[in-house]
This record gives sequence, structure tokens and C-alpha cells, in this order.
Amino acid sequence: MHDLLDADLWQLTANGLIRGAFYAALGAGLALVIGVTTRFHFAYALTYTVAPYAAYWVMDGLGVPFWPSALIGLATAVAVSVLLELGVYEPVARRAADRAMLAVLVTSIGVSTAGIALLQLRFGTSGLPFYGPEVVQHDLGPVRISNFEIALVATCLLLVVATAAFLAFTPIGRSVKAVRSNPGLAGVLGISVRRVGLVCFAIAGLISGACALWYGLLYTVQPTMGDATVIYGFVVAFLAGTRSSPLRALPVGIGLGLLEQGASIWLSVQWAQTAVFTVLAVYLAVLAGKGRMPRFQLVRPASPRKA
Amino acid sequence: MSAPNEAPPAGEPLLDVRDLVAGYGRKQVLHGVGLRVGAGEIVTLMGHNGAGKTTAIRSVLGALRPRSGTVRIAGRDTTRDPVRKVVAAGVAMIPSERFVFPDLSVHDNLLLGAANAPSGSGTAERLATVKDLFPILAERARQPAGSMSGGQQRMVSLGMALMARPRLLLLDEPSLGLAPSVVETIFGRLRDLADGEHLGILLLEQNVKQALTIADRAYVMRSGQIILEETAERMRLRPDFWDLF
Amino acid sequence: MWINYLDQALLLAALAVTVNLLVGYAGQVSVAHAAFAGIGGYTICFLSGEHGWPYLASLGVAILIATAFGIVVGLIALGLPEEFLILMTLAFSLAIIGIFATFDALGGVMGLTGVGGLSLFGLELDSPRDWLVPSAAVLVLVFAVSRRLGESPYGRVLKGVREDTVATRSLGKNTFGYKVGIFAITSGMAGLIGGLYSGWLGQATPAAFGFPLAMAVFAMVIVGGSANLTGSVVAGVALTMIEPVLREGLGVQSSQAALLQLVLYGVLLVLIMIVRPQGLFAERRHEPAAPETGDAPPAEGGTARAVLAPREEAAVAYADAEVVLRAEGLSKRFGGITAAKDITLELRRGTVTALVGPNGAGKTTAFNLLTGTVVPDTGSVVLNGVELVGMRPDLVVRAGLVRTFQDVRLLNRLTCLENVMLAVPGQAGERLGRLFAPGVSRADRAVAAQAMEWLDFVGLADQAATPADALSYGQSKLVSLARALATRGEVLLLDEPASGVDAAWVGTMLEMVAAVRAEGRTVCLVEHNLDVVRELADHTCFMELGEITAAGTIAELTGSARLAEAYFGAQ
Repeated sequence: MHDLLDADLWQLTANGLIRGAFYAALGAGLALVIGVTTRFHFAYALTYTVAPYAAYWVMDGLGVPFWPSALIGLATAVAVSVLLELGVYEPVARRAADRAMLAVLVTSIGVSTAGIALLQLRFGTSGLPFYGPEVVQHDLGPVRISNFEIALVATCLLLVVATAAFLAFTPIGRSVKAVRSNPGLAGVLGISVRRVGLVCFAIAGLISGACALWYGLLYTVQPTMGDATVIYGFVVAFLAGTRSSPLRALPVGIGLGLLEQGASIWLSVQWAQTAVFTVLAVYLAVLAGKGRMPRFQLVRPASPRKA
Repeated sequence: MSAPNEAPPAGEPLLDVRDLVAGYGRKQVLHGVGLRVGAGEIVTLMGHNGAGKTTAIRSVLGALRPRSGTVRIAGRDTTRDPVRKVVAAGVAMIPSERFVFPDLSVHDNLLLGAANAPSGSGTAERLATVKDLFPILAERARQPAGSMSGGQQRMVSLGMALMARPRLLLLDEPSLGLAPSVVETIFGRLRDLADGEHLGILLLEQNVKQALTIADRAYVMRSGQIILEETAERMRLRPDFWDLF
Repeated sequence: MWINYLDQALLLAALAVTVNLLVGYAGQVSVAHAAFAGIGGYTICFLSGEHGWPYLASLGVAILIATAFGIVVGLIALGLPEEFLILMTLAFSLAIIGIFATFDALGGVMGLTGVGGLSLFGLELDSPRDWLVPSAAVLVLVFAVSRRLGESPYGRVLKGVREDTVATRSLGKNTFGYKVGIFAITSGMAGLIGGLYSGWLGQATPAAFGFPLAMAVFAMVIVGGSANLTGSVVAGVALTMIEPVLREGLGVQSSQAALLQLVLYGVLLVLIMIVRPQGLFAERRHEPAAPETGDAPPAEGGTARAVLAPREEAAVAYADAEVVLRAEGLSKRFGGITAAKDITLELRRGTVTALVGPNGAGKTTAFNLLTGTVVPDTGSVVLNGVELVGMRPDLVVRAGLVRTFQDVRLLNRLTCLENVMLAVPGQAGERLGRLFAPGVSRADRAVAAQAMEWLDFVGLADQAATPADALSYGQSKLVSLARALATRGEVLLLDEPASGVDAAWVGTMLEMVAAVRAEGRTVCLVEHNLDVVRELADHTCFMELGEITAAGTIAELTGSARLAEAYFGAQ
């Protein structure tokens, strides 16, 4: 590590920050869904992947220009997200009653894998030629950064901040926080817990779609692009806390991004993913070691026991 | 939907519950409960834990669907209505536990109380009234509700309920865990609300003596049934209540 | 061609059986078992394929490594709430697949390929036909082991963990140990299956052990039926055969068939989850074995044997009774709130002590402190000379202090008899070491007979085969009492035994508790219905604000003006 050039260090830090912002946004969206609805939403990978595919399909097949296509991609991600809750999770959870979390997780993995297989059937298993605006590289001192990377970071930061602001300043956002904080009391006030859940799925769909579109422009669009990504999202969501402000996802996501880059340089590239797992394992081991239950319970408090 | 605070049709009590049967799953808790609350009246519902008091008010609110029987609010049948509609018809409930949103500010808590307020009620004006009633809520508006003392949290919850412009308040053990002086303050406010705003209040209390000082009437429940109805005045004359528990 | 698919079907069915043992029986979700299979596959490709180890030896190593990883993952995540286990297994899968895909020694993205010339017990494994024998053998082995574990006293504990871990622990079972155990065992079996799978494929690739495999196995388990191993085999074979049928029967291109199969899996999974969540084959319910002694009279509805023949030495004077349990100076603070303050309590043999007091006085906290579910800051609890503070909650139960719950907590999908059988202590069949020795099923019949006697005691022998979730509320409270009695605990803590049951049942409940006392056991109960206390209690303690402030007979307590004030408030 002594022969590491300063320039590389700067570049790595920049890369870490970029990926970190990306993870933070994905984690914030997932945390909202988990914290409010208690669904273990693995098919976040599907809403993520479906956005660039839908955009590509209208662009390539119907000749629609890039920006409107991107919007259609976003809308598709939102629609898929909301429909998953309405058409799959809600009925499955209702049938599974006390084992809803397990049932929803298993179904979610099923739907996600099946949906991605469908994409592969339609578009093939290899990557798609997904191109939008021109790539422009900027040199900022020792760091080289492309316009897509800047746009990705800006979008991610904007999404996180906008979600936080939505929760803080709008009446619907307030209802979302209410359900997250105390679903029983929210019910007593006549707030529709179900409608609030749908809002969260819509936001999560939007975030995943936006992230995927920029990621696709920056790297490649291929069917399995969501697999690893969704797990980073889960890790960020839980480390940041599924019941805290989306802003908390920023330091956690950026920390993970930097750690990943650091691991790849100081250990070797192979350890990047493993490093993230190690952080999670250590965190959980500490939790288990303390023997104390974490604050956020996913299981909703049952109706009052006293009659 | 009739406007809030409008007197119910002549002869109709504000709340009229008849033959209410309800329960959770296989557990039937209420076996034909009937009770009435008039506008401006404070009625206390007594009984040991597990007698079915909370189940009764949850059924009134629509949070629990009754198996049979009727609930009428100001003459209108709300037995099958969802909570949202019952709240809009002017009913607000405060649970005995977890009655605030702890990580939300006092201000947000209060605004959430108005989430299903009857239309036409000015939220800002309502907020001002509530803050007049409980000045501490204005002082601590930005503070998370969970960081306040037990008594202050009770005031938050009462404020939240009042934000919905109710004409009927269902209160589940509002004195639980509070110092006697705080209980006295809160109960005093309740009497004022009943007298000044003609609110009907159904009060579930273990602190029987104190509840009777502000109540007009009392019901006693045991094993899911009403076993006694009495004026508060006559209840106050009893030497103790052990035989009712 | 078809034989090749049959090999695959047998191995995937074996994996489905394994995962069903964990998910269906023990109720623990793991996405990582596909990755554990991957660990097995890579182990044999690395050792046998690259380094020429004998196949059998590398299979052994595969099992060991997979088990070791299983233990580590289990130890970390199984003590935490469910969502952390899911998260941990998801991340573990990703990390393992990541390691497979990036290390040159493991062939990178292409994996380790071209493994061949394996042989097992002198059997050359070249053609698909050769693989039929070991594949079938592994399926039979895995099925036999899983069945033994699942359909036995051991499996009863697993199901208890699935239905309600807290309740199962309160019957004296080391639930965490069982969870880690079954996680490790199934990991090892997955490693073995993965070792055969890769041997049959002739390669191990990162893509083969990723989420699509995890999902395929889940689909088999769910479609076949949770906690039904035969269902898993049938579904495993049937679902695997979708692909060849698509290819051979319907002429779908080979690259498309595998994808179409995944789509069908997903659709099936969602449909089953919504239409028939228990799966095509429902969980096996155990018919109660007839008690070996034929003289147990069938109890007629609602009449308990206990009531017919109470022992008469119940009339021990409270003051003369021997102290069985003594708690001294128990205190507990949560944050700034004192939940319990210097609680000192004596329970005397053959008597009923009641804890009364206003709401929030700390009565349930007192139970939690006594049973070790909450560790006190200070104080001691001595039962027959044994210190209980600091003891694991399941060991406290085995020491003789057992509790019931206000909200009953029966194990819903088990029968009444199984609920009570679970509580019987010292069953050899619950221990891994003894489970595979002969005599387990005979011992289990004896356990069933014992459990039957307790059901009979509470008058519910005729409900033995009824699933707990089909009982009325009053009946379920009685079964929970029978369950507590079956632990042979000397001291019973009953949390509101009569609350929420209607008037008709309150009487039955009272008789029953009196009968338990007449048996010579010691009872402490929390109850708000003072009628119940008047009827039953030999001694009553009054609690307020986490403290016991008075004790005596209920008449003495209700005669005190100060206590009336504490209970009903001051004017």
C-alpha cells in the first residue's frame, strides 16, 4: 500500500462516493418499504431491472427519444412496484397470517426470478445496447469523472433528500411516518395503513428505477443487474435503520461504497463484495452478542391483549 | 353527514350501543353489551382488567367489527363503518398504551389527529384552540412526543383527539401511570370540555374514585357484560368497590 | 437424455427435502442453502477435479465445510429476529457467489469445469445412468434422516420453535440450540447434495448456485407442501421435469426452456401461496397413539378426572406449609423506570398465592423476573435450594418453575396431544445423539400416554387429536394448563388463568387450579378478577408501582382503606 499513488487514492475515493450515493438511495427506498409495510421486498431487484428494459423497449422498438423513454421506464418501475404489493404481497400476506414475512419473502424471490426470466425470454440473456446522451469525461484534478456519474450522484442525493422532505413536510408523508411509528394508533385515527403502504411502494419503485437507468447508461443493462444491487440495498436499509430518516442511509451507503473500494485496493478486487458481507456479519454478531433485541420490530404489535 | 357539535336529534343519545357481541378470533369477549352516552355527559365504564372495556370501545370505533348488535352515533347506524368514517362522524379514541407517535414532533402528532377530521373544520384554528387548552404543547411543538413526560404525552394524545373535532371521546385509562396532580389537571379539562363544548365522554378508568368525581353516570362490566348502571352520585356513596371487581 | 434429467430431479428433490426440514418444520428461512450446496460443489470440483482427491473423501470435506459455515451463520443470526436471519442468509449467498466468481483458483466466472472420472465405492461415474444410483442413494439418505428428525420428538420441538419460540422455551427446551443444530445439519446435507450435483454436472459455476436455484427449491417446498417431505420429493421431481417436457414434448428451444421453467416456478409459487398456502400435500398430523394402559377412562365432555377425584390433603394450613420458592430483593430498572423494586416473595408447597394490584403494578414483570426471561439487576430466586437467577430460562423450567401465558400461546398447528407431549421432560428422542438409536418410538408412545393423562386431568382427553387452533378459548386455556402440568414443574406461575373466558369456563378453571393444588403443587397466579382470587388464594400479595406493599388473605387486603385507595384511586 506504500506504492499507492495519491492520484489513485483520490480516484478511489471518488468512486466510493459515487457508489455510496447509489447504495444510499437504494437503501433509503427499501428501508421505507420495510419500515412501513414490513414486507421483505426482494423483488426490488425486479422493479430496478425493469426500468431500463422498459425504456430500451420503447426507444428501440417504437423509436421514442431517450428522455421520454426514460420517463416511461420510471413509470414502469413504479407501476410494477405498486402492482406487486396489490396483486402479490397483500393477498399472500393475508393468507399466510402469522407467517406473513416468510411467505412474502419466498414469493418475492419467486416473482423476481420469474420476472427476470421473462425479460431474458424477451430480450435475451446478454446485455442490451442501452445508450442515451453522449458520455463526457471531466478531469477534476487527479479525478476523472463522467457526466453520467455526476448525474447518478446528483439523482441519488436528490432522491434521498426529496424522500426525506416528503416525509417531513407533506400530509401524506406525515401519515407514512405515523404508520411507521405506531401503526395501531394510526389505525385508530382512521389513517389507511394500506394506502400508505402503496405510497411507499411507489416511492421505492421510483428510486429503484431512477438508479437503474443511470447505472445502465454508466455500465451495462443486463437481466441479472438487480441481484447484487438489491442485497446492498437491504444491507444499507438495515444498517441505517428501517424506521429512521432516509438521510441516515447517506452516511451508511457512502461508508459501504468507500469500504468496498478500500477493500478492493488494500486486499484485492475479489474481496469487495465479501467486505460488505463481513461488515453485516460483524454488525449482527454484535447485536446477537449484546443479546438485546434491536429497536425495530418488523412484526406489528398485535391488537391489544387486554380486552 | 351532519356537522360536528350539532345536537343529535331529539331523544337520541350521542352514543347508543345495543346488544353488542364482539371478540378476537375464537375468543368472544363481549356478550351483549348496551350503553349510552349523551352530549355533554361523562360516563365512566368500570370493571376489572379483561372484563371487556377496551373491546367495547374498539367496537364502537370500528377498529373491531362487532359480530352482532348495533352502534349508533347521534342516531346514525355506524356498526359496520370503518374507523375512518366513524372518526369523520365525530368519534375520537385514545388508547391506554402507545397513544402518541413517539418519534414524531408534538406538532406532527397534533396534525395527524386531524387526518380524518370532519370536513369544513379549520385545522389551523383547531390547532390554536388545542394549544390554548394545553400551553405546554405550544412550547414543545418541535420536540419529539416520545421525549416528553408521561403526563405531557397524555396531553399530546388528548390534543390529538381534539384535533379531530370530536363530539364523542373514548378514553382508555387516561390516568395510567400519572401522578395524582396531573390526573387532576387532565380530568379537570375533561369536565370543561363536556360542559363547554358539549362533548360526550366515555371514560374507562381503574382510578375509579377520581373518575367518579367528574362523571355523571357509571357502568360496571364483568366478563363481557354490564352488571350495573348507576349515577355517579350514588356510586360515590359506596364505601368501596371490591365487590364489583 | 431423460436419465440425465432424472439424476437432476433426484438431487433437487433431495435439496428440497433438506430445505423443507429447515423452513417447513423449524420455520427458519434460509436463502443460503443454495449457496451451501455451492460450497459442496466447489469443494469436490476443487479437491477431486483439480487435485485428484478420492471423490468420497472430498464429499466428506464438502459436508464438513458446509456444516461449519452453517454453524457460524446460525450462531450469528438465529438468536436475532427473523428478518435478520433472512438478511444474513441473503448477504451470505451474495458473498459466497462473489467469492466463487472472482477467485482465479476457483475458475472465476467460468467456474471449475471438466471434472470427470469420479468413482464412488468402485463404481465408475461416467454416464448419466451411472449417476442414478448415487443420486437415488443420496435422496434416500437425506429423506430418511430428515424424516427421522422431522417426524419424531426432535421434530416436535422443531415445530414448536416454528409455531412459538417463546412458548416452546417456556416448556424447557433450548430453542436456540435446536435452531443452530437444525441449521447446521441442513447446511451439511446441502453441502453433500451440492457435491453430487457438481459431480454429475462435471462442473461448478457461480451461476448454478445463485438465487434462481434458491427460488427453484423454494418453489418445490411450497408447492409440495410445507412440513411434508413426500410432497417435496414429488414436487421436486415434477417441477424439474418441466424443462425436458417443454423441450422434448413441446419443442421449445433449449435456451428458452430453462427460462420458461423459471417463469412457471414463479407463477406456481404465487398461485399456491394465494390459493393453497399449505401446499399440495398438507402437513402430516399425528394421530394420538392410544395410551398403553387401557384403564384410563374416556372423559366425557368437560368433566375432568381431576375434579372427580381430588386428593384430600389439600387442607394444609398456609402458615404450616413448607416454603418451596423464595425470591428476595428482586429489582429491575428499564432505562429510568423502576419496573420492580425489592420484590420478596415466598411460595409454599400445596398453596395458591395470588398477586393482585392495579394495572401496570409490575405483576407480569415479576413473573418474567422469576422465570429468567428478564434478568433482575439485583436479588435472588431460590427454588428448593437452587439459585435460579442467571440460569437460562429453559433450565429454570427444568429446575421446576413453569409458567403459563395470559394470551395462552398454544402451538396452533399441532394437536392438543402434541402440545402436551412437547412439555414432557427428559425425552430421549429430543436429543440428536439418541434419536437414531432404537426404542425412540416406543418411548414416544409412553410420552403420549403421559400427555394423555394430563389432557384427561383437565377433561379434554376427547380433544387429543384436535389441532390447537380449533379449540374454544376456554379449552385452549385448559390445554395450556395441561401443558404446564406435563413439565412436572413443581411451581406453577399462572398468568390470568381465568381472564377472557366466559362465565361458564371460569368455574371449570377454578376447579382445575384447586385440583392442581390438591396434587401438592405450588401455584402463584396473577388475576384481575377478584372473585377468582377470593375463591382460590390461600395467600395474597398486593403490588403497586413495582413493589409488594402488603400481603395477607384477600379479605385482609380488601379491608384496608389504603389499598382500596391504591386500587381505585383517591378521591
